[in-house]
Amino acid sequence: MAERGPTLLFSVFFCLLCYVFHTVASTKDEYSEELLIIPFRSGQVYSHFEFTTLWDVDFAQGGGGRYKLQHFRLFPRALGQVMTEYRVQEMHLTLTQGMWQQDKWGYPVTSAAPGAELWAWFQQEVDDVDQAWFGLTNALSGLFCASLNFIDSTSTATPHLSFRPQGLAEGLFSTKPSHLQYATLPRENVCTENLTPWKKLLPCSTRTGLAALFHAGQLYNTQYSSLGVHLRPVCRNDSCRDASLELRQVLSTVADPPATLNGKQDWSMKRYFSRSLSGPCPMAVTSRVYVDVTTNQTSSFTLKPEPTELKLTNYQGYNRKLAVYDLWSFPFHKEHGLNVDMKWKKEVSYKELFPPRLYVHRFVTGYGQEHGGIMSLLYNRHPYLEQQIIYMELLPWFTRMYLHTLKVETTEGNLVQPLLTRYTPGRDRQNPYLLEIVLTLPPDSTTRISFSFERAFLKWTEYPPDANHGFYISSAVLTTILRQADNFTVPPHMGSGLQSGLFHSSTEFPLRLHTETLLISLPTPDFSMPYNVICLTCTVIAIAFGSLHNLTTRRFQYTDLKKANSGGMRAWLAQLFGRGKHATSEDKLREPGKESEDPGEESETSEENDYIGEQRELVTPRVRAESDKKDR
Amino acid sequence: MGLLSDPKSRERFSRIAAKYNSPLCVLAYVVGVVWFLALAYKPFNHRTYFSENALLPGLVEGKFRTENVATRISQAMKDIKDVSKDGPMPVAWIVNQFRGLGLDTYTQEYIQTIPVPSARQSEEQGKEMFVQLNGTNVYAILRAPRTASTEAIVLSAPYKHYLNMDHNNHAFGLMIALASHFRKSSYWSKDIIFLLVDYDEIGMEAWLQEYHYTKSPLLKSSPLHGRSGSIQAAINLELHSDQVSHFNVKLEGLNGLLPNLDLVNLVVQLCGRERITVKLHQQRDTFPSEGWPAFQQNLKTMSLMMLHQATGMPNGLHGLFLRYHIEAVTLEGVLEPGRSTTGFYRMGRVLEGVFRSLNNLLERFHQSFFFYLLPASDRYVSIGMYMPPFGLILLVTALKISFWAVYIGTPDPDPWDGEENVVIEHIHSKKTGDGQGDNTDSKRGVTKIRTQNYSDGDVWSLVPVVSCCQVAGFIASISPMVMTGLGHLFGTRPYQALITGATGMFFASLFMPKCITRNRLACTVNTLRLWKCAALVLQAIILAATAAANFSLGMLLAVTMVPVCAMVRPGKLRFLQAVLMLLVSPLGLLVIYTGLYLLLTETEYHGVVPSAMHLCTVVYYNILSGVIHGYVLGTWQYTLLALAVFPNWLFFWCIVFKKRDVPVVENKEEKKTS
Repeated sequence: MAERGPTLLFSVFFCLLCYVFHTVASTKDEYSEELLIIPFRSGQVYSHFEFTTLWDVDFAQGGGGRYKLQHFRLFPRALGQVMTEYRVQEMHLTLTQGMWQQDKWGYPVTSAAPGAELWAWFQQEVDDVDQAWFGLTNALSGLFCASLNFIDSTSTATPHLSFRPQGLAEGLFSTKPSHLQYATLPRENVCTENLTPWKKLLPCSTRTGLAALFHAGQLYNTQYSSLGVHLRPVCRNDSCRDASLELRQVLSTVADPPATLNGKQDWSMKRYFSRSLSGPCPMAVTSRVYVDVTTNQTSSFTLKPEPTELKLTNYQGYNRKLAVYDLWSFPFHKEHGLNVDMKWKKEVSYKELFPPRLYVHRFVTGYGQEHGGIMSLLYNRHPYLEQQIIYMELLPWFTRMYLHTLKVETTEGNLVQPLLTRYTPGRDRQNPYLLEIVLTLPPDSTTRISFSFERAFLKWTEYPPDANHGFYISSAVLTTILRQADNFTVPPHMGSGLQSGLFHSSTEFPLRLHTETLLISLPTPDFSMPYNVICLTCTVIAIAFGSLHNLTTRRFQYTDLKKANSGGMRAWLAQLFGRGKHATSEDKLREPGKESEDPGEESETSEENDYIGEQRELVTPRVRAESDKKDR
Repeated sequence: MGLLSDPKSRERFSRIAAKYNSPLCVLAYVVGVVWFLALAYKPFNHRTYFSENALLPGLVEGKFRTENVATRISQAMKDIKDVSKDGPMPVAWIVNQFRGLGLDTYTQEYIQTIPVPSARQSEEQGKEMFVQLNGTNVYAILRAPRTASTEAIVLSAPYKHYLNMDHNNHAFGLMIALASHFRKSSYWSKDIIFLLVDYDEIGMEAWLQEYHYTKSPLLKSSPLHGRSGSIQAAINLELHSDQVSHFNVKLEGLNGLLPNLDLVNLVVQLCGRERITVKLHQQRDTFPSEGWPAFQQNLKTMSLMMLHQATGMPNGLHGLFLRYHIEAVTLEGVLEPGRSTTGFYRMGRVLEGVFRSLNNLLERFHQSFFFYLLPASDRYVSIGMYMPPFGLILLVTALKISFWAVYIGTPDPDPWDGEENVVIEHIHSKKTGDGQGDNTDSKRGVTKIRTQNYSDGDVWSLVPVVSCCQVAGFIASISPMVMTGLGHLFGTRPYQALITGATGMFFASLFMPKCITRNRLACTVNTLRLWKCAALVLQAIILAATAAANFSLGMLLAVTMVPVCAMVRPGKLRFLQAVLMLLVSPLGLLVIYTGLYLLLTETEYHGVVPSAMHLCTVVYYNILSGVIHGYVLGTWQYTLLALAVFPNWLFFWCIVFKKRDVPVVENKEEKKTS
């Protein structure tokens, strides 16, 4: 028995261990990394990284109970804990520097507003959404070193139409419209301090795999760079009985080679990421690089090294040719790493651009510091198809929007009747103005949405240190579903990963576009002269207060003339300062306060009423008028 | 009242003001004028300095090296122009130049009608009656990397259409060279808009209106399909040659607006760094900077600036930006024979420096002065310095007002002839007499005089005369519009009709006193005094308000109108007074100041008759452009003159010719007082 004891203990322990491993293994997770490179006809080169972690975990389990994410493997624990704590069902955070230029570059894989944009759906069970939102923004602020903690009720809104859940939204995942929170920080500057925590969330960090290309100095020396974290529940399989948690980490940059390279569009990983790939991330199931070579027919370039595969896709007549480098099958042992290199024979010839079928341009109208307006031009360049869109405008409280000035018309002057208008008026220092319009854009037209606003005069402590820089208005959002995808960069993915988007056969293309952020100037006091202002105001107050105080507190009274004459100095002063021209002869002004210093005169004060005689006279006209009244 | 101020000392002050009125007036005026002129002297003004530290001028290394592009492009443009003769702007070629650099290039077409009485009228009567301008602006936006296009800086250049003149092709060449240089750098934090404007001011106005979407019904233009954010600053470039001897920096904008002094300093400083001479109004800074010749030179520069500013017309395209609170200056490259010259390389480096400094800006220009006068490119007179002398000049009016306000009620039979002294003595003696006696009576005496004020002067008599003057002013303000319409019916040329309209009312209203005297207004001495007083009050208000908006205009009006109007009185020396009044009439002032301007700028003298002819022509064009700019660009100088200054002047004119009736009322007064 004595010998079997430890063995039994060991076998029990072993069984337990097996069970634990089993449960962990049952929550399967999967990681894939992809990079898409598209040379634009306008000369820029777009690189879009996408890292997808798919975790088969029942995170909406428990109907009312708290769900819990634990036993993290590939999924970043830091993020998972935040999700659990604030019961987030879906979360989209983008940190962007620069603006996506729709008319030159088409549509991005993931659209992002300049600055920071965060929107989240909370689970149905969350009672206090504001509290959860407050917690989430603060947690994310710490996690990504972004000033997301500045998101408060004045910048948060709950759009009803524009931001529908992107993942599962039925059954356990059904939620209430009020559980959506949306906010932007258009002034947010994005740089390496945000990139570093972001790349720490990746399983391989930046040691190997595609993430090894992240060289901050190069990534932020581009035209546009955007970071994104997207979290949503997705179907685990086709039957969709169970859900998985999908985390998409997205990084896009747009480089502009012709600006620096004598007008040529030549692009290589070594030049634009300052290193080449040494191999896939060992954790990744798929690790691929796609290069769009569709334009190779028109503007010929050579692509080195040879891709492992060439793929043709076709969405509704629009052909696309992709060169694929599968990092798992790429012969890294032969080559010295993978350095995708595109070389053009000729310089970029800039022609008139062909903007996509649907795009937006927004700007501030008017001048001066009292009123202003915002106008959006919505271009639908499709020759015969109407386009139904949702337009959302989120204005800070200090631009007080006038809804009655809202005007939707085509540039020819035909009124366009909105199908639906949702408007949430803002309140000063509490919540922003939110406007959502559903309308149908006529084919081949430009539609103008315009309204005017009043610029609020802030309290002087509400101005930022650089008050004269101006105030930002976040970009408007246009949401729609396109019927034709011929101008899509990459159609959005129904499944997970870029692959599902690149090689799919959908007929609907949900699209979201972000417009320009706007900079407006509010009436600003002259902060450069606070000292002068304070001095001037104080002087005015002092003068006004001093004389009023003097007049209201001073008591005029009769004094004995003989004594007054013997007052000597004081009488002489009174005479000198010309307290009336009669100061020479008789009268004299007395103040009680001063008299109290002199005990000899104090007695007279008490006697003042008994002594109204001919020898006494008053000086001040006002007092005389009063005494006249008394006499009457 | 009397709570915060002592009524007695006020009385004493007004008594002093009345007693020594004339000497005080003369003193205030002389001191004011001398003080103002002295501001041009170096010890009385200040050296310019940078308030906005973010500009960091000249701290970066200039890397501009694409001057050969400038030479090539400007030559190419000249060739095109030579082939097409007086053709339109080669839009397609220009667009290709910009697009070839990879910039977002857009065009804007517009049609401007000049002058436009009203949109309806032009539709009814056909459009032939007015000059129409079609133009196409071309602009290209260099998008700054990693920014959301929220801010922009503009580099603009006009494309000139005048015959036998270069059409600013050098500026365009330099613009393209700068664009190709700027495109290579990634340090831009603000978009740069390169704008080539068709037809000077009108094209600029069309572009700015469309950019800010502030449409006027008079201008039709195609929408802009590309924009950047809010424009922070603009530099307008005019080059007369590829080699320039100096840059003439133009500041004066629409309605006398001036760009922030920091921007001016920036340009001046960077030009100095590249050893390019800077001139203001083609006037060179003197060296040594002290002494009599330097003072003369500085005064000349300052006067030219004031004369320019007073017109309210922009002297370059930059002037139109200022309305939109965009700080802007024009750099005019001038080739003066016999001077050392600089080429595109140095000019490019100056502009590169300016743009990189502007790129550093974190906030809009807000620090330095917006109201100033420049006696030299590195000396300034700020608002705090020039306002006191102006105040002294206005003090003359104020003193006269106080004088008449105090003595309106005096029952003197003939004070206009007997001079004020009689009145003063009269009152004075009364005062002193009272002073010896009991005090109450003297007080009553004073109050009596006070109470008589408004019973004697017939306040209601002001209503017809003021309203007549105002109606005349109103007619004058609309008459150019009406006359062009009428002129069209009679087949007169629009410009002639316009001039007739603008000046006709002036000459017609010279006969207004005739009409006024005929009516049955009771016109006692006191009524006349009241008139004078009211006219002076109006004048003071108008001048003060004008000076606040456009100081130079206010100052130039005050210097001439105040002394004459203070002296004006009905009765003696009517002819002399009339001549003086005519001299300070709006038209007279225009002639005087145009003459002064020509005197300061023209170097050659051709004799009396040609000079007079030349003066007339210039005056003619000044009126014309004043009226037309009012329609097209929205300057308010003509309107101000017609609606405020002219009626006020007319009021004084009526006072000169007013005959004093001998009404019965006055005798009664006499009896009463005696």
